[in-house]
Amino acid sequence: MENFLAHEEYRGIIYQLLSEAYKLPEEAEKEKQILEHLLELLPLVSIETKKLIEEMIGNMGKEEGLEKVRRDHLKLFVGPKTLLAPPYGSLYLEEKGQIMGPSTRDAVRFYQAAGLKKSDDFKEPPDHIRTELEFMSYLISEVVKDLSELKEKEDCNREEVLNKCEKFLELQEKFLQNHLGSWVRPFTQNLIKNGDTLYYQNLGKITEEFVRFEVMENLKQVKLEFEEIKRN
Amino acid sequence: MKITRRNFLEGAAVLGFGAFVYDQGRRRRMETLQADEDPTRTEEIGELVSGEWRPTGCLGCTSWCAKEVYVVDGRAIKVHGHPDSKVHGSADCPRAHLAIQQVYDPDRIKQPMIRTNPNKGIDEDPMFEPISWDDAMDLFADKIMELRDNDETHKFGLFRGRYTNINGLLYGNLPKIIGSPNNISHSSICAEAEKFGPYYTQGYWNYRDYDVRNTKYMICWGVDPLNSNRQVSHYLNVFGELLENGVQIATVDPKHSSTAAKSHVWMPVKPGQDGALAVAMAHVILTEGLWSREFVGEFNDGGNHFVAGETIDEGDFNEVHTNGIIKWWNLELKDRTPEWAEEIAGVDAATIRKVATDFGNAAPEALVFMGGGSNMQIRGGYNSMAVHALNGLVGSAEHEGGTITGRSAKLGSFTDPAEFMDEIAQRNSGKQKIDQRGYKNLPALKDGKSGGGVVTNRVADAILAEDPYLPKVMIGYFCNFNYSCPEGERWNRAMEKIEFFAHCVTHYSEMSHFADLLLPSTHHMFEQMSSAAQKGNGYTHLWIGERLIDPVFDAKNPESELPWMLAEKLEEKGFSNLMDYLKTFSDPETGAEPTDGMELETNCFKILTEPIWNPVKYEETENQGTKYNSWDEFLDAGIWNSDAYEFRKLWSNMPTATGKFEFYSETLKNALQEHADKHETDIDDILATCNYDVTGERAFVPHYEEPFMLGEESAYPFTFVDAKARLAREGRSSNCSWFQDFKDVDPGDIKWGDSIKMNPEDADRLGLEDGDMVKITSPSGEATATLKTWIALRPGTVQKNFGQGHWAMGHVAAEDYEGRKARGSNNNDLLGAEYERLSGSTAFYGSFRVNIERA
Repeated sequence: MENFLAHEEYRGIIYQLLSEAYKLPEEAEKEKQILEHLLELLPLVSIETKKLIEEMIGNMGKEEGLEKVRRDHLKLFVGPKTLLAPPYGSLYLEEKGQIMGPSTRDAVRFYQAAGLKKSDDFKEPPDHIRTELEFMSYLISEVVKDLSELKEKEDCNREEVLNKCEKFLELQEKFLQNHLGSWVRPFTQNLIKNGDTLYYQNLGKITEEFVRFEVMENLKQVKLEFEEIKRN
Repeated sequence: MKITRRNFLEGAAVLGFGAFVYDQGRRRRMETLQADEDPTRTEEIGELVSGEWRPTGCLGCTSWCAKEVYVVDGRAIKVHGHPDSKVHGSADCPRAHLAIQQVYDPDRIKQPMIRTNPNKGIDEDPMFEPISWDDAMDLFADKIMELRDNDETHKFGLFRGRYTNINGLLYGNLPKIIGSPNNISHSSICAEAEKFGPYYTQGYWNYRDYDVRNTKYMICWGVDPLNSNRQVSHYLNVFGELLENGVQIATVDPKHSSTAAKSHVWMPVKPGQDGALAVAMAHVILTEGLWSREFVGEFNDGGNHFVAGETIDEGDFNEVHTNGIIKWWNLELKDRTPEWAEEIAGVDAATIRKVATDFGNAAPEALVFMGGGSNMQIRGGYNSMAVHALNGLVGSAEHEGGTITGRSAKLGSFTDPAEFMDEIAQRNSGKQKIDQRGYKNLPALKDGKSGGGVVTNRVADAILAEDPYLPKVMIGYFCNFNYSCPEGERWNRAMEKIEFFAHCVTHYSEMSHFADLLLPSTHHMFEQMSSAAQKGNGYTHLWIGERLIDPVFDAKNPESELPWMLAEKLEEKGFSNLMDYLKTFSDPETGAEPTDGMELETNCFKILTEPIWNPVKYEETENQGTKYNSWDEFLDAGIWNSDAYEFRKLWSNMPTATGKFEFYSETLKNALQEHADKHETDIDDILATCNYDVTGERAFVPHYEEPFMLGEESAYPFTFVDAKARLAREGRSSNCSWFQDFKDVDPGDIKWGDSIKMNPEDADRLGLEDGDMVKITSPSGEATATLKTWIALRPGTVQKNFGQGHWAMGHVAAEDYEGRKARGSNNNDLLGAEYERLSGSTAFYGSFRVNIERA
């Protein structure tokens, strides 16, 4: 159980850190901190990411680094001109060149099922890369929170908690399958191809690497381990 | 060590991290998601809920159709005509559907942005950076306060493109309270010359309506109602019925338009020669004795003395509801035979005679439906009078089956800004406007006043010449003059000179490239409350729509939220007049003052439409149409319809100098005299200054003027025929993939491309073939396009649709958005910046020559 919780905690943090890495960078130090945390965590699942993150940190540390990264961010995700890596799921899942499509609505239904909605302060479509990464982080953190309580508190309704955890694991699986995991590759390919900075090129690479690992390997393992917990 | 899930805890400890990262992780909070407190929320992933049709309207052209939008789970899915509209019912036009692609376009401006590169220019990257609305408005307010501190508030200016019913607040009153005369609308690149004729014959400066359901004969003159204008929804629907019922239709247009294709007669007039055709038809109507005895009158002896070439004594004719029929005959019509017009207008005399005769025989249930094609020409003012005067001649003006003015909804008004204008504002708002209206060479005689109307495209020259002065702080909304005005390159240079320009629009356009602040605008059809009124089918409707979806990005309504935020900032800086003014916009039901921009938005529409939804006000204002009992009831229905038009009420009661329908326009004579007096000269001099060659009394009757063409025929052998693309929502829809995918709904045009059409005879002569890339050159610019040979165009002309040629607007509209490479070319690069100066209208038709050669 402890091993499971530790791993899930880290896993959730990686999603959260990746989500933050897609914000418009404000301060070089803050960005470096996010990257340093990622450097501690991501190489555990893929050693190839170590060099990539180190390059990103180096890039951010250079003179004019932050300014260049900000420029790159605007060109890739904000505009006002053509977005070179539009960060919206519908553009990849529907191929109609439109935001707020049926797939966007489908993402919202996932959020609703987990008791969430898009933040009032976030003025972007709800299938934004940041939101989808953050959603995964939330789903994971809820499982961690509930299982921790189960471990620590004797008066918990074990069946109820496990059912909720199971549901949130299912949401993770389906959300990765239908949303994030389905469009992350063409999105990150855009970053790699159109990003002007190592920061975004490598962010694309590590995002793809991590989500690919999640879809292909990790989530299956998580579910197996959870079954074990349920049995015990 | 290889870390796996199984040994993760151990491995993490070995690598020496743990608690710190945990803490970091736990401290982080969600930024893009939040708990959903909605008690109706389900725990399950639900199915798509069924949607609801909600009322709104379309501002994609000036038809202003009432619509309903199907909204599912907060998303707009599809559009159809509002079935309760008496103008068009559920009938629709293709343009409205593109609005959905506009609102959900990933290329929209997403958040306020500020220019960081101080250098402005077409080749400069503005280097826009995000800025909050709060900071953006703070900066804007600072700039306005600087003007106030320096007593130069007249150097503030506002550009208005399209708008809703509540524009009177932002466009009408806000500049006055700041202290500026400069509210510049787009009207003169839209119409104005078309309104000139109806005004100087029957005192009506507006678009007309046409009682087509009761007509027997319709002439569509320089207008293509099945394609682009006006009330396309209505005409697409009713045309089949008209043809079935035996209504005869003739179309006057140099190209075989969509309407011409459904007409019995096509009169391919030579561009600019509409006046010759019109006066020749008037000649036939009179000589054949087909004028309206009831409306115009008759000879004292009951005979017909309109004989070609012969003058008539004015005393011989007893005129009834018109003024100056004999003067018109003597000064202009007596020699304008169809044979005279044949060579000039390019339409054979027999056809002219037949159409005029059939039209006259069908009258008074016969109408001329006039569009801008016949008059938005350098010498188009008199064409506008001549074409419209045919309605007067046969007594169909204001008659069943004729051309009518329509009845308006009586609406509420906003607080008079006068008492909120301090001494600076009063003084400076009286200064000359920056469009040079009323200058000697720009009479712009809207509503009979010298300088009464706008001269939109002139502003670029005025800024460049700093005449009357250089504006410093400007805001534009729903406009893109750098693209939509002829010779847009002048606008590029002009906007470089504006110290501070804020642009509140949905998309980054050619004009935005010169902005200091980019402010994302809500989309009028879905994301803001919206309303407009328009006429058609003998009725006037006024539609209203609530916010149907949340703004997709951080967009605000430029007509309500923006002035509110600006007022807050100005108040913080010590100038509270605007906020004091806005606080008078109380909710008519509760009396509560608005406390934010959203409440201001609602209150504006409530105040404006109160005479519709409040039964007491309804009675007071004598509105006649749909009755409602409350605001909620009105909002729920989303549409008000007037009662049917009352015919002949204006006969001998027209708002002209004589009260009559004027063939001899005392109204124009007065207006020209006032303008001449202002400039201490005579009318002949004014007319010569405005490129007209008429002198003396003929200046006051509809008459033929030889077209004033830009470009010598020897160097530029083809006359250029501009038309508006069927799917162009006023030049704004080119970034919709449907616009490009269905570009060939304009006959002869090509998908995702741009073509210029030429008669095959001309192409053969030049050795050009279908599909060749050609260079089009005019005295003012050049462009390239794919040549399409097209039989449905008179030889000697070339035709190209307006709508392509954006280098901005988005990655669909532009061929290379980053590289500023346009898809196709903009007709405005070929048209010289010239005017029908009496109305102030920009010339788009019948005035331009081009050369064509292989590219």
